[in-house]
Amino acid sequence: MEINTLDSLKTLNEDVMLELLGDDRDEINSFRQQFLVQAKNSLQKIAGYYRQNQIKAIKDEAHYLKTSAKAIGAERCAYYLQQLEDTTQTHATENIRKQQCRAYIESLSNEIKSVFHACNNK
Amino acid sequence: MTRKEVEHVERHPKVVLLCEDVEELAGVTEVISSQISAFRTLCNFDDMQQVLVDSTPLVIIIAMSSVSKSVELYSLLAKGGMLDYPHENILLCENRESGIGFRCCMKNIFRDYFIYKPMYENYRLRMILHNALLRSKEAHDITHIREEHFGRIDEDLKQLIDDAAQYHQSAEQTLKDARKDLQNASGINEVQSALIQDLKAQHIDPLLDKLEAQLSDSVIELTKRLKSKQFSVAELSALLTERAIPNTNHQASLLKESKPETQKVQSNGHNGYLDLPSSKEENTPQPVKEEPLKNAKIMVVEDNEIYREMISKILRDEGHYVESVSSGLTAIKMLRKHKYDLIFMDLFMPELDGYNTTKNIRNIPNCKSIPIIALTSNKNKELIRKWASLGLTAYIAKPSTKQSILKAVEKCNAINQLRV
Repeated sequence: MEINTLDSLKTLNEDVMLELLGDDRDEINSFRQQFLVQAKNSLQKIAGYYRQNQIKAIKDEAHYLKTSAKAIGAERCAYYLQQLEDTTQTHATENIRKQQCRAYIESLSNEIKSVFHACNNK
Repeated sequence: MTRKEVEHVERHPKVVLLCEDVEELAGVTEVISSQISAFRTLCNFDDMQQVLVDSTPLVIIIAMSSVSKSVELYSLLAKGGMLDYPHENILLCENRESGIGFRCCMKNIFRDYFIYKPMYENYRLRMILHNALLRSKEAHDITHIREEHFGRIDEDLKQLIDDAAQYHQSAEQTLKDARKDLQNASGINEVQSALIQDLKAQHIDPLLDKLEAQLSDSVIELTKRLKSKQFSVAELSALLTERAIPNTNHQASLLKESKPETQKVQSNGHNGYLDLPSSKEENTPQPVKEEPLKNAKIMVVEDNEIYREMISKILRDEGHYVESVSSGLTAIKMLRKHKYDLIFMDLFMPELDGYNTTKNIRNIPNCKSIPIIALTSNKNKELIRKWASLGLTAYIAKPSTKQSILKAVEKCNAINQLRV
């Protein structure tokens, strides 16, 4: 999945898991629940690293969560994680970088909530 | 071979034409020299040896009076150790020998062949030369990066070995000092002194002895392990450049190692021999029959447990035996103990990434050619290219699909069948 512009991406693209695992609904739901638990933990870690100004740790955690976000079809989540990852590597001043990181962390937090709702509505 | 001396005399040529009669090849040399100025024609065997050793030209074109003589010359140079570097080789032959030229290329003796007699196609030769130069340049760049990289690792390991030895010395000194202090220690009265001596003899001395022995053992073990991990840049370079241009350098090494047998082709003055492809032999490549691979032992190396479990499930559902690990270090440990048919590996992992894990895996005796499928969403093409240079069988962009994952497994199956 290429991470494109936000508008073209879905909160939960069902086709991704169908193509990956087939149509075993129980299996799909189980992986989605696992993702939500993982996303909550990762988000807490990212917020902690942000407070401690640990940029490299933010990048690593964002990259880690991006893998499962892509795998369950949480495309917008994966997008924000990619943006977060990229922001940690920009040459912008520390203040600007922190501001950008904060904005993406907030968007990510909202998006994880949307994934939660999308999973529960399926 | 010395009818006429060199016509194109570039000091450090990138392209050389090895031939017997330069006049016969006037048209060809003109085309080549118009394409690249760093070009030289060589008709004398001693000159050939000297130029190959001094300049390691990227492209070697051989145009002796017959294909057998060309093969013999290439074999002789390979056996003389003059072709132990990445290069491209092109055979020039007459139209009547085009079949043999084709078979030589199918046998990977030459990378390509070109008919120059009775007529030649100017732009076809230019194209062949252009592609050969391009491939050699890439291989050369990769070799350069590798040497730089492994050189740095070698230095780091040497430093670690020195540090371990230094640590051993300083720890030994600390223990000696502690013994000395204890020796001089005395109580405020005889009872206390006796108590201290008693304590020393019964508890502290044995403890210090044990510590000393453990320290010595662990440092020796550590140094041994570090030394065993120390890369020889030359060895690695040779091994890896072999992969860079498999059709030439590898073939040159095979020729170097080969013993003269069966169809001997003897020629004027030289005692070189080479097995020529038989004209009766069927040289059309046989398509590899890809049978579905079942019960393969597959290792999945991925730090994200959800994706790791997804890949494992897909493979298990197909009847494979899967073991999954979350880090490169664990993978290396397991690969040292157990045999696997194939590995799926992530690029970015904590502790040791996919590139460095692969590098270590390639050092394990049974894993030098184990198929590795890269799992990555990384956009850094340079990094992936670097990783691929260590020998990746396939590349899967996350999250991928079941179909492409199984297709990659089939590809590995085909490779494994070829290896067998």
